[in-house]
Amino acid sequence: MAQYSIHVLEYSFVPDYHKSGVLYGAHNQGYVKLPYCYVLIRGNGHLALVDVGYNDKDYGKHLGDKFGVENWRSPRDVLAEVGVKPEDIDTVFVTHAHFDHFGNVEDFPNATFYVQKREMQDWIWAMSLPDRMRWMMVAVDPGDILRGLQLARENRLVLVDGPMENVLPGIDLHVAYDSHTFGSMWVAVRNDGKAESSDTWVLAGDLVYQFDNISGDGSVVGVDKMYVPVGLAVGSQMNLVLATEEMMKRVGYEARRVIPIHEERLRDAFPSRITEAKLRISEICLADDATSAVE
Amino acid sequence: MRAEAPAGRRIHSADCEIWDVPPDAVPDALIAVGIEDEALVRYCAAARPVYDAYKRVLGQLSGVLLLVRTGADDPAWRDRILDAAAEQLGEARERLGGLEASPPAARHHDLLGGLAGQLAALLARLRQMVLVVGADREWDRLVAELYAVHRRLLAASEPRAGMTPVDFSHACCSCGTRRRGAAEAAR
Repeated sequence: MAQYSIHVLEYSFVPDYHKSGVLYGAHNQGYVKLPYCYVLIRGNGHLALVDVGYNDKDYGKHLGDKFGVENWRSPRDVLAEVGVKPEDIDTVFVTHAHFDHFGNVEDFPNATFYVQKREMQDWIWAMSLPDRMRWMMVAVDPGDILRGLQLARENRLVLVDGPMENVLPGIDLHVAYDSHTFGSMWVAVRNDGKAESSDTWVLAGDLVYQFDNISGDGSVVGVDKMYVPVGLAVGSQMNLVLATEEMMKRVGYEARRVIPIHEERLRDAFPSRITEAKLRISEICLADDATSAVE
Repeated sequence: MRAEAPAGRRIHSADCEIWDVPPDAVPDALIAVGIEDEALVRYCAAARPVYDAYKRVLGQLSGVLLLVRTGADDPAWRDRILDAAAEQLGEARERLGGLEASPPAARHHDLLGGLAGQLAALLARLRQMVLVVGADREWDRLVAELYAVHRRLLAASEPRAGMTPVDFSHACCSCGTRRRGAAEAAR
C-alpha cells in the first residue's frame, strides 16, 4: 500500500554546469545540465515540499548573467502543472540553507518549515568569522535568514535537532552534519508506513546531486562502482560518502530509490513529462488512490 | 556529457580564464565589467568589504533572533555572535569613513552610511533587551526594522562590483561557467 505520491518538479536549470561541481575531483571533464528542482510529497491529507527553490526577484538576473541559470518559473506556475497552489502546501522540509533550496519561503504562506538547528546555527556562526574565511558563507543569503526569522515570528519554523521520526506519518528526517553543509537534512518516505519498510524513498537534497554520486566509476580503485561525493562541501567529502551509505542502507541498497534532484536523467529512470515551459516533472511514485500527473 | 579533457590535463587547462580573471571588486575586474571611471573603480573596490560586512551583520542579527524565537538560543553563544557583529560593524564603519566617494558614488556612499547607523542602533537594542518570546509587538518592530535594513542592502547591491546578497564567488570552480562559450562550441 503506497501512502504518498512523490514528484520532482523542475523550476529552473543551468544548461552547462561544470562537472567538477557535481563530482568531486572531476576537473576539466566537461559540463552537465543541472536542473533546479523541489519535490512534492502528496498523501495522508498532506501536501509537503522538500525545499522551495529561490526567488528570482532579488538576484535572478545576476544568476542568469553570471552562471547561466535559465528559465526560472514561480512555484505558482510549477505547482499548477500538478494541480496544486502554493497556499495548499502545509509542510516544507528545507534540506539546507543554500539560496536555491531555502530562497523562496515567502511563496508558501500556510506551510510549517522544518530545518536542522545546526544548519542555521552554524551559518550564523560562519557569518561572524573574518572576511578571510568567507568561503564558508558560500551560496547563503542573509536575507533568507531574515525570512526564516519572519517564519519563526509566525510560529511556522521548527528547528530540528538531529533525526526526527514520523514528522508526518511515515516520513522521517535525517541529518548529515558537516557534509554538503553544516546540517544537511535528507528525507525518508516509508511509503508502506511500516517501521521496517520495504518501500522507502530517500529525497537526498544536495547530499547526492546526480546518479554518478552513488554509482560512480570505481575503476580507479579496482571496483565496478563506488560512491563519489559531490564537488561542493562546506564539511567533508568523507561525511558525504558516509551519508550516502546511510541513505543506501535505508533503501536496501536499491540505488534508484535515492532521488537526486539535480539529476536530469530522472526523466529516463521515472515516468516524466516536459511542460510547456520546458521544465520536467518526474513521477517517482504514486499513492494507491492517485492518478498520474505525467500521462 | 561533453568536452572531456584527456586524463593528463584534468586540472585547470593553460587557457582557462581562471588564470586571467582577478577576483571580483579589484580594479582590473571592475574595468573589465564596464565600470571605467577611475574614481568609481576605486570606490567600488573599497566599498565591497563594507557591503559584505553589513550583509553579514544583518544575517547575524536575524539569526540570533531566529534562535531565540525558536527556543534554540544559548546566551553565551549569542553574546559571542553579537560581539563579532559589533566588531565587524565597527571595522566597516571605519573603512567607510575613510572612503572617498566621487559624485557618481555619493548616493551609494550615503546609503551605506545610513545602513551602518541602522545596524548599530539595532545591535545596541539587542544587547540591552531581555528577549521574551511573548512580546509580539516588540518582535514585530525588530523584524520590520531588519527588513528595512534588508531593503537598503538590496538597493546598495551592485553585481558588477561583487556586491550581491549571496556570495557567489566560489559557487563555480575549475573552468566553469565563465567558459560557457567553449562548452557551446564543444557540443
